[in-house]
Amino acid sequence: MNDSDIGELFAMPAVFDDAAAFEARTTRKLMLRLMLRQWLVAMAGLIGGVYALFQFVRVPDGAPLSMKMAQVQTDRMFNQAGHQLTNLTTSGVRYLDLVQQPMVFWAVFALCLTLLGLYYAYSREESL
Amino acid sequence: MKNVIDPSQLRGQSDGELVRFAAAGSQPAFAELVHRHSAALRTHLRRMGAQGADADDMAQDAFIAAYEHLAEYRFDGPFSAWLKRIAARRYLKKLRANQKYLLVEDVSPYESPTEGASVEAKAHNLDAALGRLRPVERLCVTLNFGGDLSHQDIADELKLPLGTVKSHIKRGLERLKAILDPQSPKEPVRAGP
Repeated sequence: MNDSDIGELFAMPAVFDDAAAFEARTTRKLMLRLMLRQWLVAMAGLIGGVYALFQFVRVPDGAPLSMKMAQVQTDRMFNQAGHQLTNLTTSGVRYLDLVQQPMVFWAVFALCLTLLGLYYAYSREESL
Repeated sequence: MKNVIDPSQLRGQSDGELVRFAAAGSQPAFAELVHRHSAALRTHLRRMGAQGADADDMAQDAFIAAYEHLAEYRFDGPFSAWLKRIAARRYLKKLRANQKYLLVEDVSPYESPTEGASVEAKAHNLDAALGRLRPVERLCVTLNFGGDLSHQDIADELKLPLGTVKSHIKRGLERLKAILDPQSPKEPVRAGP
């Protein structure tokens, strides 16, 4: 037996009974991974878009006070559902105000940088 | 692109053509590549020393990594060799993480778990014969003959000196021949520690 005989033996792959199942699993795993990535990109775009939109919306000064007055008037005129809607609007304005704080902006910025760093580290890990 | 390729026509395409289709986004083309090379890749990983389900997981990961890096394939060698190299690197990375002392030089006599088994029963059974080699010899011989890597490439991949790799391959081959061919001369006696 010489080296070329050994080479020929190595050239013959084993036969696997579950070859079809393995191929199906591999293809399915790839599809799932691609789909998850597309969803991740879409969600990141959506969240980023909504956040950017929040930065453009400006609530007039004294809005919480005027909202409170509107709530009082609404209490007199409408039922409980109207009251809850007003509360929701008031809390929405408060959240909007919070999102526009510089501290939140820097927190989001830091989070994005961290994610970018993690993505870079992961891509290095996955490099061929 | 992926909508205009008839999957039944993919069978007649070369690996290079399939890679081009897959790189353009054709998933059926990549599925055909998986169909063609899965057995060879799974066998290669097992011959390197990976165990059943673990070998299959690594083969799957290698296929997925290959799909995601198809643009890096230079068409300068067989696609199967490129795939095997990706799989081998993943396996070696895992080995380094889990078995830190596997790749060190060791010339002490090695007695494999199947040392006492009948040689005749194992004759012409490459996979069984590989199981009787020292792990590092098995890796070097498989990367050389199964993965088509040069001695220098293996030294780079395993981070071992070139001379050490050559010694492992030489000793591994001698032992393989002795196991696979009952007519061959007896295995050379190894030096003690």
